[in-house]
Amino acid sequence: MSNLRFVNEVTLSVAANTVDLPNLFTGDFETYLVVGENFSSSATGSDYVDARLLDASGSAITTSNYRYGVHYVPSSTGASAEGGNPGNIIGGIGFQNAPLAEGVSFEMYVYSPYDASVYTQGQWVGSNYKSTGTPQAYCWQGFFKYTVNERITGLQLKSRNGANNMDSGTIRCYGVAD
Amino acid sequence: MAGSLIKVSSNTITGSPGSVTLTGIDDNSIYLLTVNNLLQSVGTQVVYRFTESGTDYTGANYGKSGRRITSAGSATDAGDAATITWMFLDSTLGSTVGYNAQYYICNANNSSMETSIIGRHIDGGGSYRKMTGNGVLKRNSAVDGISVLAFSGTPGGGTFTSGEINLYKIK
Repeated sequence: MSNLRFVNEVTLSVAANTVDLPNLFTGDFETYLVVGENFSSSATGSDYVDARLLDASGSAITTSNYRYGVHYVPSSTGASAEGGNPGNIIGGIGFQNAPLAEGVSFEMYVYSPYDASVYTQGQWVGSNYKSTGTPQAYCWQGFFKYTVNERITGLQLKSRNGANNMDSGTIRCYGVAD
Repeated sequence: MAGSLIKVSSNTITGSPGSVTLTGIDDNSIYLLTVNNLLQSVGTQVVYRFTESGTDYTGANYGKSGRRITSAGSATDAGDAATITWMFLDSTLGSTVGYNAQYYICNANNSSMETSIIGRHIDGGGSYRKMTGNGVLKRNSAVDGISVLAFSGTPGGGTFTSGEINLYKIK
């Protein structure tokens, strides 16, 4: 049997600028692999896609206890970085440029989310295509530490400025068995 | 079994070891090393060495390069020429906040090729940064494992206190 175990899958169907992805993390695994595919909007507009964690009751954590850093590299010249030191989001999972079918895709490892005695940490690689301005592909690499010892059960994806409603995309969560 | 992640070796740290060695690389598959919530009591960094016939290779043939990303919003290069005796000196450990990593090991079992490691980690302790990069053993040899060492003056001179380290084969 593979040590990579499927846990849960969520497919978006209702347009919203925040999307909760509950029940991804349980006490069964220490490390989780979250794979998001083509988070997009059928409307027009563009915005960063950020994330937040869901607490034990499934509510998004909005306090400024996230530390994150992200480096994003376009297919043309000029890479950029941003950070939250601290911030109230996990910034820069990708950039959504609706209404392209090619939305934001990413993979993220999340460490010890269900263990309330340690910080939850994660790191991700994301990609998207941006058609406005100079059309180009982007690669995103980032990490976060949630600096409170608290049980985490899921993720929220969030349009940074509320400019886009995500209405398609799939997220799959896997546990990495010890 | 096709399309599987198969555990080869693991170590849940007990006591206060200066290093942990995982072996079991025995074919040309890609292997995945995972490190979860690694903590130290002595030393501030973790470094890596490959093993040949179960013993750390300690020659000055390692190199690494990468990109260091911080929560202050910076991204800088970090590299070494291939003349050092370990890999990944940028990995900071703490005593209460764990270090986490995923690294893929390539070409290890092939004695006619150099062995490389590719991946990323998040620093432990109060350091809010990650490293994405690679390391290489510039030596054609059959590598059968990897050692994770607490660094305090020398590799293995520090001590780990807790954490879990796993080596998987990707089939």
